[in-house]
Amino acid sequence: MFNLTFCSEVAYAVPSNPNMSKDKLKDIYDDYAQKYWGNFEKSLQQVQCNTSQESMFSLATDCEKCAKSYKQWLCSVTIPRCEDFSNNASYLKVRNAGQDFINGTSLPIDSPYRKTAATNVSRNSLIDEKIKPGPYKEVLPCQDICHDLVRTCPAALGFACPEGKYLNDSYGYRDGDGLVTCSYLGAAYFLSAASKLGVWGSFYMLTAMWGMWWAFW
Amino acid sequence: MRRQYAFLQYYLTATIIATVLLALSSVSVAEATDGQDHGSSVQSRSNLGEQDLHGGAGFSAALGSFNGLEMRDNAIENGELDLFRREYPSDATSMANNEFQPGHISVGAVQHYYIKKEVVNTKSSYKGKGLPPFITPKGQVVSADDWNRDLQKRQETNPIFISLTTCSKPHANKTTDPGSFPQLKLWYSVSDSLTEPGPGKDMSIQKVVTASGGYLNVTIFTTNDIYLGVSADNSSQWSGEYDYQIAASVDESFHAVHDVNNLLFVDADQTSALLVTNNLTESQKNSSNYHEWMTIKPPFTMFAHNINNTALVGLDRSYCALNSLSNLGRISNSTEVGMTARGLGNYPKEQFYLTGLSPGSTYNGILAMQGNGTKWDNGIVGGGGQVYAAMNFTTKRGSSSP
Repeated sequence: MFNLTFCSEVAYAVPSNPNMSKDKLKDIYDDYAQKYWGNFEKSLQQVQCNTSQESMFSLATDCEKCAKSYKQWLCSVTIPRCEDFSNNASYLKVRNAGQDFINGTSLPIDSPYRKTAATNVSRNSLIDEKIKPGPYKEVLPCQDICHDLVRTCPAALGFACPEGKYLNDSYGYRDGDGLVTCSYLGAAYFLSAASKLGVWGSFYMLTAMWGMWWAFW
Repeated sequence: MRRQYAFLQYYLTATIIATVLLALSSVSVAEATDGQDHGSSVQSRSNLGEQDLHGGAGFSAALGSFNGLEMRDNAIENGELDLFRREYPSDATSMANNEFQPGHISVGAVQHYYIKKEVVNTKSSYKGKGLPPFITPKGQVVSADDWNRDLQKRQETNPIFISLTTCSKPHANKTTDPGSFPQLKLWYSVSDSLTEPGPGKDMSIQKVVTASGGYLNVTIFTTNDIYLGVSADNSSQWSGEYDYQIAASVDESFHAVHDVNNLLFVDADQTSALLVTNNLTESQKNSSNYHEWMTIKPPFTMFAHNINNTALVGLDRSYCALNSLSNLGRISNSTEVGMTARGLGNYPKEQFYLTGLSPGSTYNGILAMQGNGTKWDNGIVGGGGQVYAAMNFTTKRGSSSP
C-alpha cells in the first residue's frame, strides 16, 4: 500500500482483506491517522512554538521537528507493516490471533497467542473491527521512532516510551544485515549496501576499469 | 563557419608537415580540430562531423600538396585517396558506428566482421542532452560526461567499443543445466595479416573475450581497420542457433552492463511488489535539478523474472534477451512506473509497481535502461540498452493458515 494522502511516506504491505478494495483500505488507514493528527495539532497549539529563545520549550528542538517525528510515529504505529503468518522470523510479532483466517480456519482455542492481549488483538482495534484481516505477523515499528518523538517534543505533551518487556512488545530493533527487521518510513531491503554506490557509482567503476585498460594496453 | 575553416587550414598545414616528416598516418584532421570544437554549437559540430567521415582526409590532402596541387578549403571534401588497397574477407560483414548487426550463429560456427578505419576514425557523435546530473546535498555535480571528456583527451588513439549481446540460446539436446550452453566468444585481430580471427588461429596475433551472462564488451585502441570473429564452441549437448547483436561505437559501448545494484525492494504483498531505484540526485528540493528529475520521463525500465523459469539462465546481462524472454516482460506501463521522492532522504528516485505476480514466489528484478534512457535503437549513442545487476524479491504467501 502506498500513495496515501496523509501518511505519504507509507509504502509497505498492511493487514488487509481480499474483500476490500485497495482504495477503501487506504482510506480507512489514512483517515484514522489523520484523525489523531488533528488532536495532536490542537495540543501543539498550547505550546509556545514561535516565541523568543527564553520562552521556547527547548533550545535543541522546535515544534516543526516535534510535528515531523510525531507524524512518523503516528503513521508507523497506526498502519502496521505485516508479514505472512507462516513467516517464522524472530523479529515478527503475532497479532489478532483471536480472529479467524480469511479462509474460515482459526488458531487452536488453546493457542498461547490467544492468551495474551498483545498477540490476541491488533495494536489498534480499528484493524480488527473494520478490516478483519485474520491473524498476521507485524514488523514492529523501530524503537528509535518512539525515542525521537519523546526527545523532540515538549515534555508538556507527556509522551513516553514503554520500558523493558513492554518496549519489546511494541517496538523492534534495526538490523545491520539489510533486512527490514523493524518498520520505519522509507524502509527498503539492503538499503545500506546499495546506497553506498549510487547510480553514478557504476560510472566510477567504468572509469576505473577503463583506467586499467589504459594502463595495461 | 568561415573562421573555423581558417583554423582548419592552419591545422591542415601543421598536419601536412607532421605527416611528411614523420610519415605517420594516424594524425588526422579530426584530432587536430578537437581543441576548437569545445563550446561550439550543435550545428557546427555536426558539420565537422561530416568532414570527419572522410577519415583519411588529412593524409590525402597532404599527398595532394606534396604533388604540387593547390590546396583549397574544400580539399577535404574531395574524396579520399587510399594508399593501400585494402581487402576485406568476402564473407565478413562491415560494421558501422553505433549500429548493431543482428546475427544468427550455429553451435560450432564462426562468423566474421570488420570495421573500416574510416569508421574507426569517426569523431565522437553528439550524444544528445542525456539525463540531468546527480547533484550531492552540498551542490557537487556528478555527471557522466565529465570523466568521459577527460578520458578522450588522454587517449592518443581512439577507443572503439565493441559489444555483443546474446538474445537467445541454442536448444538443449537432453535435459541439462540450462546455463551450460557455450557462451559466445569474440575474437579480434591485432595484426593486419589476420583478417579472419577465430578459433584455431595464431594466438600471438589475436585476442579473445568470452561472454558472461550473454554479454561481452571490449575496448580496442587503434586507428586502423579492425577485424573480428564471433564463434560458438562445439557442444554435444546443445544444437541449433544463437541470436545475437554485435555493435561498434567510437563514443561509448552501444550495449552496456553495470554490475552494481541500483534497485531496492520496498515491500510486496501476495501479487504485487514495490521497488525503487537509488536516489537519482540529492539536490535541494527547490532546485531546478530536483524539479527536472521529478518531472522527467522515467528513464529506467526493469525486467522481472520468476527464478524457477530457466529461460534467462546464462543470459541475464543481455538487454535483448531480457526484452524477449523475461516472465513479466519490460515494465513500462505508465501506471506502474513513475518518479517519486518518497523514501530515503526524500530525494527523486524512480519507482516500479509490479502487479500480477504469483504468491509466495521469488523473482529476479533487473533494472535496465532502454537505449541511453532518453533515446534508443540504431544510430543512437548507447542505443542498445543498459543492464544493471539482478536482485531478488519474494511475494507474500497470503495469510491463509499457519
